[in-house]
Amino acid sequence: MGWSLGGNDSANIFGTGVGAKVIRYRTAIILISIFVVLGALLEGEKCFATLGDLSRLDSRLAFFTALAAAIVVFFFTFFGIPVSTSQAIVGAILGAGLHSGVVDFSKLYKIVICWVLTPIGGIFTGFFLYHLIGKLIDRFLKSPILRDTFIRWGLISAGCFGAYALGSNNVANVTGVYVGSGAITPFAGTLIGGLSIALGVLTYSRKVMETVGKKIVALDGFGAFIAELSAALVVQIFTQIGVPVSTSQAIVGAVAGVGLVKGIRAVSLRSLIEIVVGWISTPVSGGAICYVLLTLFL
Amino acid sequence: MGLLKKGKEQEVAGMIIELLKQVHLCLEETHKTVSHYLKGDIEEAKSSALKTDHIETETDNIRRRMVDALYRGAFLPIFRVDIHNFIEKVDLIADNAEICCDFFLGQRPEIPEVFKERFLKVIDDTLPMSLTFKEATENFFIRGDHEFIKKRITQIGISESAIDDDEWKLTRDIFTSDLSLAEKIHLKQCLEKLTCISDQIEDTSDWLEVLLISMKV
Repeated sequence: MGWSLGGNDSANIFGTGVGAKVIRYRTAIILISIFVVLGALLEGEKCFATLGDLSRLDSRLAFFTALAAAIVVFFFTFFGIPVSTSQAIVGAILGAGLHSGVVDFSKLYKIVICWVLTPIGGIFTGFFLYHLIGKLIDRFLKSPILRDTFIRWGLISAGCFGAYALGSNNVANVTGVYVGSGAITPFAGTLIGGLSIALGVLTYSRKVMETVGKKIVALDGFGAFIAELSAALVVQIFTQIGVPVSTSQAIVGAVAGVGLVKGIRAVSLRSLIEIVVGWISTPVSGGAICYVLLTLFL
Repeated sequence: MGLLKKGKEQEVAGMIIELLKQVHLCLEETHKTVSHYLKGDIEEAKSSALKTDHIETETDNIRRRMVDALYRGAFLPIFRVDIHNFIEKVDLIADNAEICCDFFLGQRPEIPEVFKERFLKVIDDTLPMSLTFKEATENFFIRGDHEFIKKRITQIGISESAIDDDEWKLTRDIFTSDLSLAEKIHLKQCLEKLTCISDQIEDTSDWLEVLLISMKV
């Protein structure tokens, strides 16, 4: 789970930077790995409680829950369908909860609201930051060399921040169910989760990163920097609330927000529809697979 | 690790300033070539034309080094392409100057005494345009004073219009003179080689304006 999450979601962080040749792929994955582990270790525990509150799972249920979420992520990725690990794991937990009869749907509303707010937050943050930082740059950084240097550093700093936010927010998707079941300690959960995401980043991210970099080519360097920064901010805010969200949906929202300022359609209608469909199809698939697995094997 | 390609932008900016210096030197030698030619001093004209040729070769070398530095990672890709186009256009100024010298010494046009001053005036008026363009471009890459640059670009446009006006009047006077048609056409071609330089400076300054606009967030 952590491995595929790292392989897929690292593209949301440095895809634009690598696509724009601001940073080399090798450097990018090393930086992501470091900051993902840091984010997981320093703030990763904040999202464990939310997943734990959804249902009480023992070690066996936790294993099948994680397996179900991993199967959903694997097959969605295999067929090229965008997938959120946060939504897959929440669906799987609900499936396990339904199977064992211990599920607290009252906690679900907070998670669903956060999912919906993720791309919307990305749009607003991207729109606002583009105006604010854009005005400051036009006023104070007139030389092309200064401006270029600022955007380069901005893209790299925002990427590191994004990696930190990914680690802090999404590590719960990887090991949250094991921590909730008491199989491992929260610290071990953040360490194992962080390292497994980093492993995915280091070994399986090149193709997705190059694809995403080319997809967001409609944005210039500054637009890419604002999109990365906005997505990282949004994800980090949800870490403080304690809800794992989709970094992919945050970046799509942020790119759309930047596109709104520039008067271009930087995100296709299809991407937006995919997000809405994903809110339902991913957790439902996760839940159904987990329920079937538990019925078959327990 | 090559985290940041630090210094490449400064390297390119330094080469652009060197390129502008060489292009202006090239135009000064072209001015000397035309001036000596019109005075009938062919040997001096040849010597200046040879210098023009050498300087133009040097501008080509600088351009190649700059393109290499650009595609090794200087500036962000979207801006890199604009700068590359701009550099090519700056180099074309020196190319046109060399072509002009080649025309004078290779085809030896016979310019009647009555038109000599007016031919010389075209290249006289082109030199300050080159200097203004050099100032504007240097400012763009070092300070980025947009008002300063815009004023210089406007000034270049006005100077070019004045040269166009002179060209039109001179063309009319050539074709209403008693010269043979072959001579008229040859003189017209000669005039076009001279005005090509100022046209290219104006065209390149338009690209500078594009760079200025594309930089805005």
